[in-house]
Amino acid sequence: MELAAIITKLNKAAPGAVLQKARFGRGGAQAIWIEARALPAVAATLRNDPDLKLDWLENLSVAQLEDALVITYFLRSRETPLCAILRATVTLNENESPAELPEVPSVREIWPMARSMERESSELFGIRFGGELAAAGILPKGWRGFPLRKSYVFPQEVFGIAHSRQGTDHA
Amino acid sequence: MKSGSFYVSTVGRVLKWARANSLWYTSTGAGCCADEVLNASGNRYDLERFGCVPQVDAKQADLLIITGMISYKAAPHLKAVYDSMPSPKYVIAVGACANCGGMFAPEFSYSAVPGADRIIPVDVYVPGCPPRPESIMNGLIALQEKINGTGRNHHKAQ
Repeated sequence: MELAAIITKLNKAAPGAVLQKARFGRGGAQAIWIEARALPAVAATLRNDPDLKLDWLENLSVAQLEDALVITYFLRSRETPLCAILRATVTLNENESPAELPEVPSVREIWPMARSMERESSELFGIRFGGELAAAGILPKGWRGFPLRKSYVFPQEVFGIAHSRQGTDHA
Repeated sequence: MKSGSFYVSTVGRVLKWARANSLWYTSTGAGCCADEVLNASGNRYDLERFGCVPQVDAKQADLLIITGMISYKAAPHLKAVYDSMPSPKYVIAVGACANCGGMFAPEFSYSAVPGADRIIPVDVYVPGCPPRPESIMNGLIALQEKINGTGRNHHKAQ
């Protein structure tokens, strides 16, 4: 099935959700850019449509471009030879309070594999998937800030260990 | 001859000789330097002929060989391994990551400890990325010389 057919199905199921299709990376893959708030409807269509059956969330990645976070969903099917790449952006406003952290609808009910990947992205980027800020336990307890954001300032000291090469006594 | 001086001179020398030639080691193997330590203890380089026998339990080890990058999350566990070793205990830091953070430098990474000596005292630093087994052997011999008091920098320390 062509990408155009997938987009046609998505336009029928969730009108206005698809923003554009764009080349992804250096290869020939095409990504479908969608509205972040329409994500559950799009995901349910891709998962449940008998022609698509994209039931395998292969990967979930997050990257920061300027003042936006781009969330990419890599989808495959266990029954059909299809694969698809979904992308959605969420704007980032700095100096935000915990309640104002960017929010993205969760797809963990549709693809259960999303649970751990959403938790990891949530902890490292400060995204609230489904309205909650999860702690994946990757960072040590008591860590402040979201280290994969571009605005993250490296700490001077972590748990009493100076975070620099200066001042080491190698004598 | 008083017994004290006999102990310091003769018995002490025997003790140092015994300690230097039975450095049973445990290793915090992470990264490619761990492979070089394995090579060094393998049959081609044979670290065991220096009395350097790998041990699984830190409680039976005299020497801790630190390889690979240490993250802030792993730092307390490395300290726990060192604390559970019986005295006298020695530490060799193998490779750039264990020496100073290496390419996971504090300038580029938020999570890399800039050197094992920020957490525990280190006796010998083996440079390299990764060091060859000869370098690790050289580091072990340097530690033996340090224990025996015949180290190559011994005259500088006095």
